[in-house]
Amino acid sequence: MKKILLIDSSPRKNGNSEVVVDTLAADLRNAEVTVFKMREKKCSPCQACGACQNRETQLCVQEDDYTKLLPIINECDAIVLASPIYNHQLNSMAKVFIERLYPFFNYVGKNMSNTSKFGKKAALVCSCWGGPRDVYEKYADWTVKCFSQMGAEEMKSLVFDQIPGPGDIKKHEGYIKQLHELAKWLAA
Amino acid sequence: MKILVLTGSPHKNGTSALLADEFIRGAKEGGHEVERFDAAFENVHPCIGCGKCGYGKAPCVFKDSMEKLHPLLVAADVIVFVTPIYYWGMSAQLKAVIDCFQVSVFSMQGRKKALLMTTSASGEKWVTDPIEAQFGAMLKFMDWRDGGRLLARGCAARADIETSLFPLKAYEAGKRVGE
Repeated sequence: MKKILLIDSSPRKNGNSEVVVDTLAADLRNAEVTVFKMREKKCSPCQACGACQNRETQLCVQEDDYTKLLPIINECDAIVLASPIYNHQLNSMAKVFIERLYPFFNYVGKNMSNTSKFGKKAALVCSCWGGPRDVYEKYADWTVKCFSQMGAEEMKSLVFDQIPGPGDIKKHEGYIKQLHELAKWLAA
Repeated sequence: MKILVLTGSPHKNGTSALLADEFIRGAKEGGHEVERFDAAFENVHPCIGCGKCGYGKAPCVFKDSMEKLHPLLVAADVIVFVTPIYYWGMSAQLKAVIDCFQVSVFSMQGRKKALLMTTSASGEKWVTDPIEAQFGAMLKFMDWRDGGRLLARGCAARADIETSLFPLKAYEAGKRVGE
């Protein structure tokens, strides 16, 4: 059974990112899915203290929910990060999520990672109201590659724009269809 | 001129802190008024997108360090963003400040100039492409002038940057900031 980790970095309950992870979770009921909604968890920013460096396994000195998630990130087969675009970038919580992957950094390891599992899949799903879609698509495409840190080798990024309000993504049939396709890719 | 320096590093004496120090030294010598806000050492609650600020109509629901920063953001002629590159972007601590711009966004648009200063261990040019894309889009949306970028690549540790020309460039950028 595939182990799939779905992250929602939005501060909003019933927001578009929550629709994204809930839609994927419903499609992936035959997989072992962990849904991690950051607004319900304690996730502090990386302090760049370096205690995690030069280790063969992941260690973080911060005692919060993110640290507890590290073994699941290590063992999963696929990860999805759903984030709203705030000021032309992932929101700050999504940045916290990515930066806390530092315990996986190992300069001499394959893909500079100490993960015990490679070949993972990673997807970044960004939602926003307006803005330069071409810039966001390129940015998302670059940013999803950060997940090579935790052993991802196949990546996809999606940008859903023109969704101004919480949950408005449901009005876009095309976007929901893309999520169903994403779920199939994750499960494959 | 009123200069506001926003830093993102959790290291007090790290690589990007040196760029901020040198920029500020130059700007003060140039006769400018400088304020500094070290995001990682302040209390900034991430924006929760509740919309209660009405984008300038009401204060933020959180009473934190942003209360003192908002008047400085509005008053500044120049805003300088100084951050280490973490996973090809600015630090989450600095991003949390930018996400809170919403409260003053319409009072901040126009008139200003912004500069970007980054440090990264990697010397590859592409490591700063995503932050430059974000910075460019922010300049456009805020209608700010591009005051330039100082991208100190290949600086993993303090010794790397101390022996480079980047601190001098930061100092000179501070001196010239009024131009």
